Amino acid sequence: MSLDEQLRAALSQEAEMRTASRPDVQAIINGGRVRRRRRTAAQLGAGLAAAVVVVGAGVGVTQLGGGDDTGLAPTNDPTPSETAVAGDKIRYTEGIQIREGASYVLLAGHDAEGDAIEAAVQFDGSGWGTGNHPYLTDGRWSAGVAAYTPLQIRSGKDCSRLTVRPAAADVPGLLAQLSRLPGGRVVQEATPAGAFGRVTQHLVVRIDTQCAPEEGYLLAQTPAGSHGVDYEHPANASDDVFVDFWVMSVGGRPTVVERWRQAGGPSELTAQTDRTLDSVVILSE
Amino acid sequence: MSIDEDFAEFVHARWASLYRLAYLLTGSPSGAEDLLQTTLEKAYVRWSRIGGMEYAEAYVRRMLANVLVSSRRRAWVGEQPWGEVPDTVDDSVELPVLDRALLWPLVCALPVRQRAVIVLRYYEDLSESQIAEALGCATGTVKSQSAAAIATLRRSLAAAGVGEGVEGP
Repeated sequence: MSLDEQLRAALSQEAEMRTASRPDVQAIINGGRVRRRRRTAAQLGAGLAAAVVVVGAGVGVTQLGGGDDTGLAPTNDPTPSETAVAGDKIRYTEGIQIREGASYVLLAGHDAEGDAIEAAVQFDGSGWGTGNHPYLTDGRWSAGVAAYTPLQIRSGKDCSRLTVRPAAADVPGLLAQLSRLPGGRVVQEATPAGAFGRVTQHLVVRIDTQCAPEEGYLLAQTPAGSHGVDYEHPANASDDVFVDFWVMSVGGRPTVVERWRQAGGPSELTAQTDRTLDSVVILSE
Repeated sequence: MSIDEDFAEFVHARWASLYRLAYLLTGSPSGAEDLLQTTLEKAYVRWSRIGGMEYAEAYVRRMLANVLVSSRRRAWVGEQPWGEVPDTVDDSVELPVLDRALLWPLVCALPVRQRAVIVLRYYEDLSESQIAEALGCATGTVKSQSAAAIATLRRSLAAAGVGEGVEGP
């Protein structure tokens, strides 16, 4: 039996052993529509240069500093206003007014080739604020969603010191970093999950944010700027925050879709973030 | 039937078969789903044309390989680590009949383009010119990639201590 024949047999056997999950045809069609709109826009000369738009400074969070922070700073957009992108979607920027029912595109970062990684999203209900990343508040409790390719992750054993490390370059490494966030403990180990039209690893961490010296708890530095959870409110009732991370590789870059919520918060806030997450589709060329 | 309905019908009918090919090309279940998703999104954009083809599935299967070897796909697919292989081997050494569990990891360890050539040649039964067309390269490149892949597989088998039974090509 020649090596050629052995290869044929081995490949056929390996293929036959594989069982595919059910296709998410709607996600595929949605992704295809986005590609078509982008192509049309490019052909019209509009292109997607807007992909370089970056969102502005944070609301309620401060810059990551100290430790081994390499000093990557967000770029401010001094004129927060709606910017149309492909199709009927609006570019998410800090300070814009979220309109219920409208479709937005968040710039999560860029892949290994420099192409934009974006998240298409529809925000559910009212109460959304627009910092570096969207957050939701009822005036007392808060929650939020985010999509980003992390540049730096909070690290270290001492939560009272704000230190960061460069984000891992692969999904397993990033999951390990997120599993060891200062003040955090893993509630659910990373498990495979289909979400946002992708195959992801779903990790849940509970963080006691009280240990953090800064206002709120700064979790990561992202292309959109610093990213914090646990926004401060006068009657903040809980320092514990649950953070759901869905981590996936997009174009060679570990990418995170995240939902955070304060422990004990009202179920409606959680439901709003859930419905918002249901609308998220990760887009990449 | 609308274009969307036609496309959805195609995806439902051919998903399992396309997934298997994507799995062989990427060497991982998650990579396969990602590759398949991206490829089908691209196919959807041109479905008005592809859907009318007599061999639409064959076209999409070649798209899978093309998307894989495009530069932006290389990074995330990654290479599965495999041990060092010796610089020189005796190609005349005969090898035993191989177990899939031994040969498949060696195929996975090949560079992406070499693996694609091997999968298209031995799983898809494509000719060198068809492979060249699918990957967007010259036939000579396919030949050299194929030769390099086979040589690497032989060296790896030798390094693994497999020494008799397999005839030369």
